[in-house]
Amino acid sequence: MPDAPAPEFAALWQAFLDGGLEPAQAEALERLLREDPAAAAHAGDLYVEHRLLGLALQREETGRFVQATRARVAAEGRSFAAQVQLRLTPAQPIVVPLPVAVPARRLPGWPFAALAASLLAAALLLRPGVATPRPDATPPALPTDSAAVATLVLIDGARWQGAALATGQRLAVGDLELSVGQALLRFAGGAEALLDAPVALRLESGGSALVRRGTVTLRAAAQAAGFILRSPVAEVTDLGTEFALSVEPGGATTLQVLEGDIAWRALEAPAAGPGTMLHAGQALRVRTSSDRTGEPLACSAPSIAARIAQSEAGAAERPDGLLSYDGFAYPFATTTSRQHQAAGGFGWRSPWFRQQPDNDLVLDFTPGASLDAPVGLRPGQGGTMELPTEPEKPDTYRDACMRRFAEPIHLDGDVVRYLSLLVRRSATTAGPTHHWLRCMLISETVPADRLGFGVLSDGRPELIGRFGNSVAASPLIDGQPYLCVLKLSCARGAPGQTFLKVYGQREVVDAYEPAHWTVVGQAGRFPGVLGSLHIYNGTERAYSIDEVRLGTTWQAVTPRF
Amino acid sequence: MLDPAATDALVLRAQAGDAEAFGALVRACEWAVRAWITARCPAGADADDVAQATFVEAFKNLGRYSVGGDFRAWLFTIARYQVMAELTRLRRLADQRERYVPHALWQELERRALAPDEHEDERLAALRACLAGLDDDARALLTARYADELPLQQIADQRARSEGAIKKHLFLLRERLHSCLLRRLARQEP
Repeated sequence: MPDAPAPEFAALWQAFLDGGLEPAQAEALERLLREDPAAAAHAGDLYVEHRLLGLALQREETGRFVQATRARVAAEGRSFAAQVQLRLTPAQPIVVPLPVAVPARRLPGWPFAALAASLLAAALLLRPGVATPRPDATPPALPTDSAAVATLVLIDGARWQGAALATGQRLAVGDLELSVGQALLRFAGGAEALLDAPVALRLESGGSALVRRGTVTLRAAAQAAGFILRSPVAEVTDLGTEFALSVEPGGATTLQVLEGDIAWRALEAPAAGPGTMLHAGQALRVRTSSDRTGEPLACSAPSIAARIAQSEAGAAERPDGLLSYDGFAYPFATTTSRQHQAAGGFGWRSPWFRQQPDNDLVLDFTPGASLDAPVGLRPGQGGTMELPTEPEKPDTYRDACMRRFAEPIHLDGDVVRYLSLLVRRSATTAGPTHHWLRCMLISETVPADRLGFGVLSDGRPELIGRFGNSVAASPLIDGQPYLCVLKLSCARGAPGQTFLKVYGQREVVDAYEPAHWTVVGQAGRFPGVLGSLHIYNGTERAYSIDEVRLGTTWQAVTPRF
Repeated sequence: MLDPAATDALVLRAQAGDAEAFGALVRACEWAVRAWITARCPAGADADDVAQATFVEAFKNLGRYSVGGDFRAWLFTIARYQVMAELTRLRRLADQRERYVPHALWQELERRALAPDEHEDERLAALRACLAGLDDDARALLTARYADELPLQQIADQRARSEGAIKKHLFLLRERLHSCLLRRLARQEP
């Protein structure tokens, strides 16, 4: 939830909504919203409600909108081909929304549709300034945000053909070629695919992919059932199961079912039916696209879980993507900014200091008392950083404890970063309000820009950013330690986004990036460079912080036993 | 919204030329799309017209949709383009001075149009529930203001009150609805 807006906001806002906003007031409102991103986000929420009131109170007959839309569609259908022909004129302004261009597997049946589609394609090709891929072009699977169909959740020694992809990157429709190593993808529809190099595939949508060569093992839980995996000769529909699909250089395809059932068909055969089911433990080789029966084989493929266990065992021996770390192994309970003593860990270009170093404010630590980590996470070895209460302080903001990263986060390229820390909210308070916490990454290049996460006074975790805050449903329990993992994902030319996962002490930390986050942030373009971490709290609730990590992978910031 | 299997079945029928199936898809997605678009279009935009245009474009491009994908996400991608086009159109209109919207609020609306959140239908449902909790007089005032779009002076005359008093009443009602919404949406969070 955004911070409370300035007192004058209410009067200005009311005048804006109901009329009577004087020019000077309009200027004041402009200034207020421009200078305070939280107020702008709050105004956005209020404006949404204002607009939705009109819709909620609208008196209309049931089905009016559907009838009107169908009538308009019918009218468009009759004149569509003619309209498309008109659009062939380059001077005609064209706004043709074309979402993710997935190859159609079924042609429209309307008589005009085929003509219209071809004319539309011609119009797009002729339209100046519009980059339209050739029909046979295969654009690479560039990381993107709004059109992401899959996320790269785990890699093991992976090298990609023509791309440098990192864990956590989100992938759009396009081709992927893994030359060396292994990688685990999670599709938007929920299915997970383990790629074993060498493998080449095309991501078609959040629920389908084409394997051109190599082996892909796919696991689709019940909610992700229906995933379609194709090869040059066969198509497999996952019915809630795990199976491996291997494509030989000539296109012959081997299917091995590890769990559950699949439905398969050769591409030139009719749609899959009961006669083309394969069950757990069964395997067969489909030689050509007209091979309707396949050749039975013994099933020998290992499960995804077994492969990942092997991968993790190997990964434990290798250095990871940890960029900055502090476990607060300090022998003192207090120091000050000017003493430059709180300089432990690695990957920093400054010691911890309070935001206004001239005041030489105190930094507090508890030596030798780490916070308990959730199940599976490597426990801390040092102490904790303490953010005590300061009820005597007149303002509501405590000066942040901050530290600069040795390797700032440049947001103008393809970048994924994970920030984790353990946090405990004190069970006691020094007053009725200002019980919040904030852990913010601060821009070095864009004034007042920052993003991060925090805990509201009522205990609910939140994601904070210039595009609005997002709040979790459930509060943290006072006195209990939690692991918070922030993910920041940015892609060149696409909006970035943040995600937050919170684990309680008894929860098992995911071995790799989770499918479900506690809070998903607002998407937007994050410019500039994030150079430092600021941690601060409200004046009437203490917090303890431990095991701060910044890294390039989920595994780097969630080290396991 | 329909479950994915039912949606796919309707899409297949619609792709094969079944107008009833397309109508069912519109019916299933109507409120989600209308609420999302309404929430992102400023006053002066005909949100329902933009919503209809969204469905028309979806119809035209239905052959490009691959069954097994996320139909809702695909549809909202089209809606995003439509809303951005509408925002651009409105910005260019000369009479925007009469329908003044602060620049920062424009930017906020544009950000939200690009955001992945597609659940304004939940906010709309919560708002309807909050409206149901108001007394008849309060609902009548809001209906006059928002559904009938009567000038405030006319509402004030009908109620034998000052325009200022009506504005104050509306302000308090919006505040009450805002608090109610926050409570309801917080309870709905997964």
